[in-house]
Amino acid sequence: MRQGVILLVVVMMSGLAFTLSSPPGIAYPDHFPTTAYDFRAHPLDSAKVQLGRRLFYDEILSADGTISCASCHSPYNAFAHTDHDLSHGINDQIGTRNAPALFNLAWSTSFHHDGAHHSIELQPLAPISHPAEMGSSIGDIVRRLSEHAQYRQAFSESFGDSLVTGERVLKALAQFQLTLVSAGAKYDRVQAGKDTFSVQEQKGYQLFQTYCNDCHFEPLFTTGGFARNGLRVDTTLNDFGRMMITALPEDSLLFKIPSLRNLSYTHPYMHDGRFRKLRQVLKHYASRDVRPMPISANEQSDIVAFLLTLDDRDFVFNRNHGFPH
Amino acid sequence: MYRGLLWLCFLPSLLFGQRTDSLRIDFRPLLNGVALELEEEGGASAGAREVEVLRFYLSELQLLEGEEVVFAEEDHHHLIDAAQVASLQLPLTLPPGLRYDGLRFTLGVDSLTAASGVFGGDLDPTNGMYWTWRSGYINFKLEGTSPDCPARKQRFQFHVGGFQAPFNSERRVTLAIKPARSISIIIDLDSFFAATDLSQQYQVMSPGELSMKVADRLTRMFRVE
Repeated sequence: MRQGVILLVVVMMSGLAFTLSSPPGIAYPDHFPTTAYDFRAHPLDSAKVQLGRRLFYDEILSADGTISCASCHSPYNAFAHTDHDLSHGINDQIGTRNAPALFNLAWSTSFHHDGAHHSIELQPLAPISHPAEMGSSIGDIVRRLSEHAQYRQAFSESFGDSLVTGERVLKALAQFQLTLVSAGAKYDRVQAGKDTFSVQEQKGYQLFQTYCNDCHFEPLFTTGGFARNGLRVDTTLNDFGRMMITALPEDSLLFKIPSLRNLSYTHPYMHDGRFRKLRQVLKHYASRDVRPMPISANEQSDIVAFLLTLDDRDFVFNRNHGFPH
Repeated sequence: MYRGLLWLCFLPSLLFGQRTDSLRIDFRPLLNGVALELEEEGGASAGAREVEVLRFYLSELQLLEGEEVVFAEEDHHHLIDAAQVASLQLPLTLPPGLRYDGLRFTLGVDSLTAASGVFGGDLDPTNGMYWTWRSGYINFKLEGTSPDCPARKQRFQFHVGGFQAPFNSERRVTLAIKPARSISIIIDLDSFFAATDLSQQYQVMSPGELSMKVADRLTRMFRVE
């Protein structure tokens, strides 16, 4: 009897400790703004996160079982697709855009280079359904997962019963992707007073604040908005960016401003992956037709030195969001 | 004792059983003046206009007395599909003796819901009513074949959606009705085709000026029998 009471107290206290140590959302440093995603309305749940992680790495999502989310969003490339200017899907088909890196998505209010999707929960419908990406449909995925005993078990653990629905698949994928937080770069340690920039990095930081920060706004290194960066249209792709979504002429050639974190891992650069080196990107901004930036070759080197302080090695090699075992 | 308990069980229904009224709304799609029969084979009979898909969202259903809202269904989105007979009936439970002379609903998913995350039930994306290449529900799908349609296999496909300005395609429909046990609402497809030149306009797949015009035209199909 007494043992029973003690056990009960221990169970209650451990429950309390769990509640206290598990905020409804994700952990991030003080210099980050609050998230755009509403974790109070949709709290993270570890079973759902793990289910989403498993789905993210599983080729079962594609029509022929060859392509997973991670095929083009590899953890070792900060969830981008290194060395591929344009990503490829089922049957070796090539798409029309460079796969964007995935991190700090809880702060994002639009997704894709043209902001086609505004909800992290519904965005996966695009690669799932695109004939040159996964070539499947959410309905087919629900059917395939329903026939899979281990998945039925995982849905049961996450949602209380083994029913697989489109809503549940998409919720789980979103939960996993929301946990991808990159906030451990040298820049972040400097912000926290735990490290210092070198002289060159500091010079680069000042130049960055003068020329880049309006769009690539600290500490996420994007405003989340759209901008015209002066790239000429690649006539083999004829990609006019946001206009293709809004049908508004004034949105022609607007592309989503990407974060500048983890650039060492996410080359090539720009929406169509046309630049293989960071130096080419800097050169473009210094020489573009409209409002070229007066930055010398030496200053460009300084900016690159600063940008490399945004590499987050701990994020890239974090096994918690790597391939599930 | 047990009989007493049994009686107790029935007490609530005795007390409250008569305290509601019901109203059933029946949607009746008409094509060529007769009840729509969906053509599932895909344009079988030559020379005739066929409808294969008639599917739409209905939300924010309200009953009005004058301009005043006397009944409102909250957070309810109905996927109405001519291929699913049960979905053509909306049973409502109303307070007893409710006076009303108007019915109002939104054709489509309201923009607040469309701007939120993923939902289940009638809003689950497996229903094929959420765009994949961009955000937003398809509020109204109307597909079929017509001899005057120049598209491949003479198919017309109207996928009307979009919730962001300036191409928000959600529409309010207001109809005058009288209190009754049930009312029939005609979906007059002939009126839509009379107003649509299928040799010129036969395909809408994205929000834009044409989808806005088609959305206006779709609202005019609804009338009380």
